[in-house]
Amino acid sequence: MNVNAASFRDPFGCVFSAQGKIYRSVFQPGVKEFEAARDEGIFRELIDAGLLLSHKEVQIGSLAPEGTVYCLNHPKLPMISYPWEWSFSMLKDAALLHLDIMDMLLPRGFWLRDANAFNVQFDGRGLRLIDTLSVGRRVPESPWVAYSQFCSHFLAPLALAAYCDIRTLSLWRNYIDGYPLDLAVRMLPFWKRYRPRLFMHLGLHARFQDLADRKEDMKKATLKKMPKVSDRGLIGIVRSLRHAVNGVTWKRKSRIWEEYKNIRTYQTDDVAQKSEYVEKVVNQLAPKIIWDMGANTGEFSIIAAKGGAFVVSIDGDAACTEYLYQKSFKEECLRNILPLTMDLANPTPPLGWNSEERLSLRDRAPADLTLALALIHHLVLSSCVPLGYIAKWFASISNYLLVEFVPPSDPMVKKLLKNRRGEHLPYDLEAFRLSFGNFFDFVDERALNNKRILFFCKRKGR
Amino acid sequence: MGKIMILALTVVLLLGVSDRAYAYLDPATGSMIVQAVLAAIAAVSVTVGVFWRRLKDFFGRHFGHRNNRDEE
Repeated sequence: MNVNAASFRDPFGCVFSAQGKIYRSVFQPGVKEFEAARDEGIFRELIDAGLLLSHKEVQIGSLAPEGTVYCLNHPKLPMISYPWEWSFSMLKDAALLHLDIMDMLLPRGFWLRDANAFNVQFDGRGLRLIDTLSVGRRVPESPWVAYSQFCSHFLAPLALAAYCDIRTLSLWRNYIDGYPLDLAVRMLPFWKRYRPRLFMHLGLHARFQDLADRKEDMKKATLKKMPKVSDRGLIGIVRSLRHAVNGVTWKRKSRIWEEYKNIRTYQTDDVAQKSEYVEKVVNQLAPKIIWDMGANTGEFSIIAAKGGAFVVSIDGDAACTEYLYQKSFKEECLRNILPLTMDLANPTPPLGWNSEERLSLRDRAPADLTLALALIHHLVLSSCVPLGYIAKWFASISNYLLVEFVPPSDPMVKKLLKNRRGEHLPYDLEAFRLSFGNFFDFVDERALNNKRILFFCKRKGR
Repeated sequence: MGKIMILALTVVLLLGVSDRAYAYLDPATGSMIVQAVLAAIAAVSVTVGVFWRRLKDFFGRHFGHRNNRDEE
């Protein structure tokens, strides 16, 4: 039995794994809330509406942690992902998911006890709230206990990404408990700070927090009792938050990779050849999980996903990830693609308490198959990572690898070396074969008409 | 800004208080107060919204359907 390293904050329960399955314990303090939601049919409704990850009450005896009163079995998620890796619209949808749940719960006398972005995950079909114990009975006339968390986990990051810069989403890596509202307000362009709903939920909110903190610091206790918020008032706040979230839009500017289809130097028949080989490898291996590294707008992720595998499509350009998210979430047959934004030369490290709470990319490996198409020349020549390091890294995250070698004579490589005067790390076919041959067995290879070569490799010792 | 804060604080003082809610998160005092302010504004807007819908329904019932009947 292994208690999940991210599951220690809530006294109501914890998540653990045993015998390859995922379970949730409900401890004594959470029993009343759990029973209330269960007996009212709240969980059933939320699961049927596709808002909450499903569960089954089970009894597993001594496999569960001490103090377990109820034990729930959840389906295993194909990949855990974090808000700094999400596209803008995915974070927005995660915010709206919380508000949809609140809309459903409030008239029934329930609410969400927290509004944590990490509690939303993609289950291979859509976004779901994964923390069953977030649902609890509303405390009558109380303000929403998770309001501050909602603003700092969703509204502030969305507003900054849309109006300051999309790259501010990487601030999440530092502020894993949500963005400080005062910082978010200061970073927003002046004229956006005073958009009515952003002003109310971020500007005014930050000011009140600051005033209350200062009074508390000066030992002038501000409140002995909590302010009242009526049911109608809370419904109004949730509605206002929905308008605020919906009103934040990112005008995605096309950057070079998004237009790559139009500017790439090789021909349509080369793409067709490459696509055909990707399809062949995927069909032959029948992997369950594929990671497409440096996926661009996901052209090959889509081909891979059509074989039925769950595809994690990773690219450093937020515009590409956004493009693919919108495409894959609109089309039912592409719902098994999870687009993530990440600089592969600086992938997600382990973060949070004891550096264990949020997993590094490597901790989430291995993928059954990793695609590295037209990627490694960028890592060697732009990010200055030696071929041997790249091969070792791929061996640490994949069982099988489909890697494309782009020769030094290729126009794209020449473009990268235009101003280098030969001062770059070794990059040729021999060095490639030597480096990757140390960690992988070459199973098959296919030379394309444009002199690029696709290598299908199997990790050594597998 | 100052005027808004004074107005907001006045609204809070007029709203009254209830018992502390159980929460494992720190709901933050400032966030509680700002919600009381926003809830007061929101409650008014929800009430106005409900009233407005009823008003529209009322006029819709008495005048709007005539066209449909004419079409039939």
